[in-house]
Amino acid sequence: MTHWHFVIAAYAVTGMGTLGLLLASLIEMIKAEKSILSLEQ
Amino acid sequence: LHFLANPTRFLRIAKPLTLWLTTIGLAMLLYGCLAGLTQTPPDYLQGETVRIMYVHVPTAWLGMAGWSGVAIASITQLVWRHPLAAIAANAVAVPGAVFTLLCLATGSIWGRPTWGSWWEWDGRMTSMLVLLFLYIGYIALANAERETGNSGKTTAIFGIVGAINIPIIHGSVIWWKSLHQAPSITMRGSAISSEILWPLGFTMAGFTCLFAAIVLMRMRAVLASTKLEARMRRMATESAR
Repeated sequence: MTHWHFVIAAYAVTGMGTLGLLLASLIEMIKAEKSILSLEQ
Repeated sequence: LHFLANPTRFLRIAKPLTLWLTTIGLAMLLYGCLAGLTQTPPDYLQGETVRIMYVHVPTAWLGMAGWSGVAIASITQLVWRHPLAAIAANAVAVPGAVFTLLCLATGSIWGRPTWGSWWEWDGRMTSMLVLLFLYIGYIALANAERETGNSGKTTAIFGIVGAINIPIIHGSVIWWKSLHQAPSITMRGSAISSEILWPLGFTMAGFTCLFAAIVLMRMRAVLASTKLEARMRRMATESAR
């Protein structure tokens, strides 16, 4: 394996982990705030 | 700090801040990663693998800074009884654990071509693994206390005691013989050439902004759920009358 394979693997793992966490937190927040709004209406 | 004790006041600041931190964080991270992959020369010893530094160092910093945040919020919760401190500490734990895991994964990937080994039981890697276990224990304890309706005091004490691991992680490469290099960036300057170092500033700032945005999102989710639960309880009491 060349050095680039390791570099790509490290960036892919970090990218997936960070974006996954960001999206999961965003969805959780939107869902929770939407449920409050729908109850108020 | 007490200015933010009121959840309504906190939300007024947190809502626009979440969007700004996410946008700035993503832009800086994208630029830093692209620059790190295309604009810097390979290292004379490590070759192209030095580029892993631009994602590995920020994840290590956030894993450690995350637990420092947990400890500070726990002290604030116990000493000043700040109403948002426990929520903040719990909101930091999951992203802190994820970034510690990413640090261990990228470090392992970097170790294979550099040291010829995916894993070594040396001071730095072992203390970082201990940090991951501390995060997992903290999350489990916080969930258990929430389910049993406890105040979260035990979780806060665990958060403070666990902070003992942070100086151990920092000192591990100085105190013990390790394959891991000694700190390259200190208060006295950097041992890394500036032509290789500069994208690290962008990825550090980008990851930190995203971490802060994620913590705010998780805090907002908990505040909304708490508000919903309280309102449902009130509605149930009113309909029972």
